[in-house]
Amino acid sequence: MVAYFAGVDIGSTTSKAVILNESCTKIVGSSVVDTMFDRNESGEEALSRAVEAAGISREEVAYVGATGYGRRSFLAADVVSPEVICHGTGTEFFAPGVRTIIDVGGQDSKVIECRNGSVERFEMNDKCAAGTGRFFEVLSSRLLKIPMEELGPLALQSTDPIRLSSVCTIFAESEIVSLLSQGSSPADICKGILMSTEKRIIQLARQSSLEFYEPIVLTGGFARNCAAASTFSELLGKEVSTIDYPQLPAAVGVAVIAKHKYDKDSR
Amino acid sequence: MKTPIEEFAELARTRPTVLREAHKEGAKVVCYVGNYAPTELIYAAGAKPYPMWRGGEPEPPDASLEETLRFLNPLHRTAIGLHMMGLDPVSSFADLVVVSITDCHIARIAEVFEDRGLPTCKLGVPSEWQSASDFAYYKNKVELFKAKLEEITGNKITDEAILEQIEASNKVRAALRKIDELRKLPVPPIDGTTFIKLNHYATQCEPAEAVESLERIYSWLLEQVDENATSDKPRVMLIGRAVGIGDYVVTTALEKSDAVIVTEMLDEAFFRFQKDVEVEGDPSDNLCKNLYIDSVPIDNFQPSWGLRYDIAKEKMAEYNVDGVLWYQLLYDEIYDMEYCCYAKKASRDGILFTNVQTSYEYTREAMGPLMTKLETMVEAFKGGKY
Repeated sequence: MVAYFAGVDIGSTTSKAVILNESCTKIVGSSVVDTMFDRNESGEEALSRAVEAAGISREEVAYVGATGYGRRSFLAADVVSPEVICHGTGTEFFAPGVRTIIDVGGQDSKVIECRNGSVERFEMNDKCAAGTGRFFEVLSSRLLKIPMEELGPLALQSTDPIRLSSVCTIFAESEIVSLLSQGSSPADICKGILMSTEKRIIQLARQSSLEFYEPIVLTGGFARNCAAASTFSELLGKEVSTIDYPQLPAAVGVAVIAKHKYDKDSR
Repeated sequence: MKTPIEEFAELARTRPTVLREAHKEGAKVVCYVGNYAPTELIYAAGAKPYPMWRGGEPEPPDASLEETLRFLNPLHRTAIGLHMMGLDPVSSFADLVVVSITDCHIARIAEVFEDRGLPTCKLGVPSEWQSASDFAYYKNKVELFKAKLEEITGNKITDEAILEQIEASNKVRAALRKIDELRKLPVPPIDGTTFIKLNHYATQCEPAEAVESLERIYSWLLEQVDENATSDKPRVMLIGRAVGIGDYVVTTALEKSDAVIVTEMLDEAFFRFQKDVEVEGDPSDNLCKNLYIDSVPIDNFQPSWGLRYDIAKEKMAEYNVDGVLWYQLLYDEIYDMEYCCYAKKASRDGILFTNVQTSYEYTREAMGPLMTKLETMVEAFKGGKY
């Protein structure tokens, strides 16, 4: 019987699941759902949908791996692994040879230096929403009242991005309200917030001496914004690309880890 | 049956009650914040010292906000908050609180305590530790503290009494060093969190009690040593300002993530045991020299960062360390800056180095990123293997 391997990434905002084929070379099903209070239920929901999308039965899944903040709550997991490790493995799946991963999620952002999918060094934000998807979401989508998917194209229209003086989400919110009342264009505000978010992430990584070795790949929900990777490129002066499924690398990574565990346990 | 470690913990836990009873019977009690007031002088005056080094709980830092700024580190806000909440087990009846003022964070504690009517002694600790004038300033402050102790106890502090206390505290140092040596083994019989706890218990108990307990613990640990055992757990060095008494969430989480802390470089809330106080010569001078000159210079001493990095590297080699965890207290800006410098040097030297910041808020939401960081760090220290 053909075996499949599943990876479930239960994040702060969304839960993602993937089903990989037996050799872990192809995604045969995936899903992204909103994370609910019950993290186990969120993981189950994501996994069920991915299984459905793959057109297989749950019994055909040999091993399930779990990652993300809710990984320990996911009862069906055969193996759990921290998401930074999974990001390394999973991004290598999508972009072989990647050396730097910038992952911007809802609650945190991470910069990961890796080689052949193995994490060598990393840095992530602490205790502050600045430099996370939430910072961007609160300041742009909610204040400008523009759907998230339209923010990227809007930012690309900017000609004179605003400069935010504060990295505090609350103070920045007041600053933006003030800029709006002064007539700044939504496109410039949107691009300015994007730059502020990304500068914060770059500073965080540079404080820990991360070098942004190329190739650099942007992942996480934030990467779905079509202006995000190009803004990083402008700020870093280096090529930053993204991948087809930027929210899935950690889930893919933990599915690959689940296969390794399966192979080890089957010996 | 309790282990010797549990018995020592019990002794430390009940110490405030013992002090309260002693105080009722006339003994003087002196609380201390920071590490630069020699406790030997307190004992030599016939008084009882007690450290105000608690940390790790979110409520006291919050409570301190009525009296202080948010932008103070949580360790020092805890000292203020616990007192304000009436939850500090000793300071409410202390005859004196001595605060070693090494920076603006700790200085604020002294200001608030004074403002709230606590009998407070400010012991200034200047930063240029290699200059003769700064050492003289510090010695003078210690002399003033000594005079204050004589005033509250009514006892003259003699050189003989100080020497006796130095010999007692050196025995505690020696006992801790013996246990610390076991941490160099491939599979240490004691984890880092427990070792830090032992250090804390030792400061809470009388020196003789501490020595007796530590000797029993050492013998008990020796029985558990398997010299042929091997382990693939990463060996971690912990660096930071302080792990407060009770602030064991991060170190415990790290060690539960399959790593072991084998050594540490902590500036505060930690009894420095590496070097004995000299017994030849003027005992007061020797105490000052031991704390101010012979100990690892703290972060805000000048100069210190380069030397501290070199000392850390020596310890890494001595304890066969795989990586370093920098334990950062929120808003402790000097340590934040030092971390940035260390990270750059460590990167050049190929040392695995990461940091974890704490505000003492260990909610479900806070624990997620924390565990991710710690578990990833452990995996990275293992070489990224899975």
